[in-house]
Amino acid sequence: MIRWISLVIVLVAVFAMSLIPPYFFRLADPFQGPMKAVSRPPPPAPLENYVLVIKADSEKEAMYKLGYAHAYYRFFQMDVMRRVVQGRLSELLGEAALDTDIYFRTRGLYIAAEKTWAYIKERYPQFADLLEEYTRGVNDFLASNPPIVEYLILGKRPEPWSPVDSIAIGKLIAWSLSGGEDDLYLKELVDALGPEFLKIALVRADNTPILPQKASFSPLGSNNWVISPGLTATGKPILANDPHLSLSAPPIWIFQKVETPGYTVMGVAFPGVPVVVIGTNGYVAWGFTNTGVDVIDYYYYVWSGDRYYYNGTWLEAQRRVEKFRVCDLNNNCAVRSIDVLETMHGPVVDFRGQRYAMRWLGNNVTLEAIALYMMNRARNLTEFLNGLRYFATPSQNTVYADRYGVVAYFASGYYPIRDGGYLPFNGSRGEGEWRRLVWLPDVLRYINPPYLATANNKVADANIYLQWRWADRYRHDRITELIAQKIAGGKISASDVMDIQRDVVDISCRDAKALLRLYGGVAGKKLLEELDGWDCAMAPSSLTAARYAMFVYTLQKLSWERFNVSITFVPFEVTLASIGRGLIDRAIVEKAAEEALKINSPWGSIHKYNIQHVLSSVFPSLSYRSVEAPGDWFTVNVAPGFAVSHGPSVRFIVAFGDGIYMMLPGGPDGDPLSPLYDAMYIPWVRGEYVKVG
Amino acid sequence: MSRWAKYLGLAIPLLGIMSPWHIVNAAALPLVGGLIYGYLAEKRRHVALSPAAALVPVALVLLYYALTNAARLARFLEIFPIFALLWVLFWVVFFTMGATAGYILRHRPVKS
Repeated sequence: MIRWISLVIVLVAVFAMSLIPPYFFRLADPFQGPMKAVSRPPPPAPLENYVLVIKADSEKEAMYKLGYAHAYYRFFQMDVMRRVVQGRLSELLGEAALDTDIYFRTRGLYIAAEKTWAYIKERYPQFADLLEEYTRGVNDFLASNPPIVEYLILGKRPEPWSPVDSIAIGKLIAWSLSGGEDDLYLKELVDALGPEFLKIALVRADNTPILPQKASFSPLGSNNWVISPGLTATGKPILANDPHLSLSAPPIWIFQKVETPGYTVMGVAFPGVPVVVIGTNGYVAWGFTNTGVDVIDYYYYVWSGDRYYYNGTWLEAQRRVEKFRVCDLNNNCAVRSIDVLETMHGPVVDFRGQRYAMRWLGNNVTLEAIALYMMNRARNLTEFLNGLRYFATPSQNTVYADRYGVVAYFASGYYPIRDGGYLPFNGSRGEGEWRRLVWLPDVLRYINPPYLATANNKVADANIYLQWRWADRYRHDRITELIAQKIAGGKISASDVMDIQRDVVDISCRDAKALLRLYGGVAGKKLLEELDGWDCAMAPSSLTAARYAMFVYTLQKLSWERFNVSITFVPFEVTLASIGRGLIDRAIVEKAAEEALKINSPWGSIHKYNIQHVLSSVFPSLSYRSVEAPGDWFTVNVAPGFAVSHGPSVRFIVAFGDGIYMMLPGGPDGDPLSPLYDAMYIPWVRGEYVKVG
Repeated sequence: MSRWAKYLGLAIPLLGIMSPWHIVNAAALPLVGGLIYGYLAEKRRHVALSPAAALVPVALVLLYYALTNAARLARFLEIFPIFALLWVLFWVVFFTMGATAGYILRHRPVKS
């Protein structure tokens, strides 16, 4: 009998094993589960001063080593990014990622990446060889079966890398900077508010274009600036750039220095892509901010089944079937499929029940990787421009400086000439066809300005439509104001430029005060009195800053939330103009002031960084810790919203004759178990820099 | 058989280092280890101590990782304490179940 009891105990234990979900055993396995990640092999290339340093005897060797090192430090991040473009994230993260997969698979970004790679292999075999070396480096790292903690948690094995994946990451970045569905949201607002709103949105009375002169075409949240040699302490130019992107753990960039016999280049790169995007090679330096130039159009048609009417004829839309594997924690996967239609303009997407075909410049073969590769090697302005010519999209405010003292600005990229472009076109009538592409630097350039700043503000007044959602002018105007102040006090140094990048004064307060004066009512008067005694600095310790931020937020919310658009979709200048013209009820100004006066805690207590890892929703400890964030939507040191997940993705300064300075919002190593995982985060919050060259 | 023979059971969970199967490493091996431990235990007290005994291989695994990279182990325990707790819980529970079953299986009279 007693032996039976022992058998029962064993059976109970085995039965318990069968009842417990398998992923529990995976997570609890000390040898093949997440704990295995403790025994990570030593790094293939060092991180010196947070910089990934690659030294090689040839370019091919450098690419191989770079691929290996990117994978070592950031492979999970690389994989997530390529899967976003592939529409295969739900294989990794389950049902929660399916909507993202459908979104990107429908838009066909990975198909465009495949076409681009085929083109590069055929037309640029030397560059293709380098990309293949990089890929070989990544895959050799993966072949060593490295213990990467995220995969050990998820119970997945990393899949091999491909050169298409590198190009796909470029497509993803380009898409994220191209405005997405802006035209469709604008249509919603115009439908609701009428053509008067469109006039306000397209032609803002108050704006400060980057280029002073009107641009004439013969048929065009980041900061950067250049200061010419005559105004600097060293007598050589200074270039500064802090591109504003989503903040994540690990950061979107890796800072690298690649030394080959032919050239040495350092700067930030996207893990998964070997070229430096923003950087310097000792001869030239360059930086980017997004122009917001509109290169996406939407077309609606008369449909009959899969056929659409176009210019007098019925055409058959092409159909592609997209299959998705959605896997759960136990790696049981279900297959879902959708049909995607494609018209002559592009893939058909659904937007609030209406079908539109989407045409995006980036869905063509585009060669930004080659552009950057050439810019990495450029030794003067001519060579730099030879590279820039390959840069199709996203259009960037490109600032340039070189050791010879030249500074310059170019709006890079190509722009499709068509009639309009800000609202969806009637595709059935043949509206909105792209007549030709113009290379923007042919028109939008400025060589050797004394100084010039860009902050996603309007590029130029032009004789054609270029953009409508440029950023409010406040950051740009504040930067130029500070540069002018520094010049008035003497020569500018790298330290002065750091001060500018750290600046948290929000000059939108000047416009807001004018609004309160006009329409604020009793509460507005009270808030105005407080604002009048304030320096507009969005310091974490300031109560008035908190009240001001709440005023701006509430104003945007009351203005736009009812139209079912993001409250930050409409620029603040447009909000002010819409209230001023009576399109939006002016009573909201007093309501916003009332809400602001209810705030009784300093800005830092309600405004914190919220920088997350992909798996943070399950493992919050993977996020960087939440600390007070200085700044707001409109400060040079930008920190929009209350839970801040967007901001300066790198602070980068090249002061020729002095040094190269940078800081990333996180750590260089993407491995959460690494002591370098968040090493630069707090120094970045404090506005500190490391000198890297 | 040597009175030390039962301690062989404590080494069994460590065999997981050669196994690719999570269920084996997290549960089956501790169960088998417990069975051996309990079967060879002379006194009921040894079985009563089996939850604590299960912590011996746990400590050895932690020692192995600490020697490999103490800083990374500390980070792991800081970020993923739940995984470590789950692992320890599984090893203790299955080892103890095995030890109890093993002891009963041998069915010897109880010695105090």
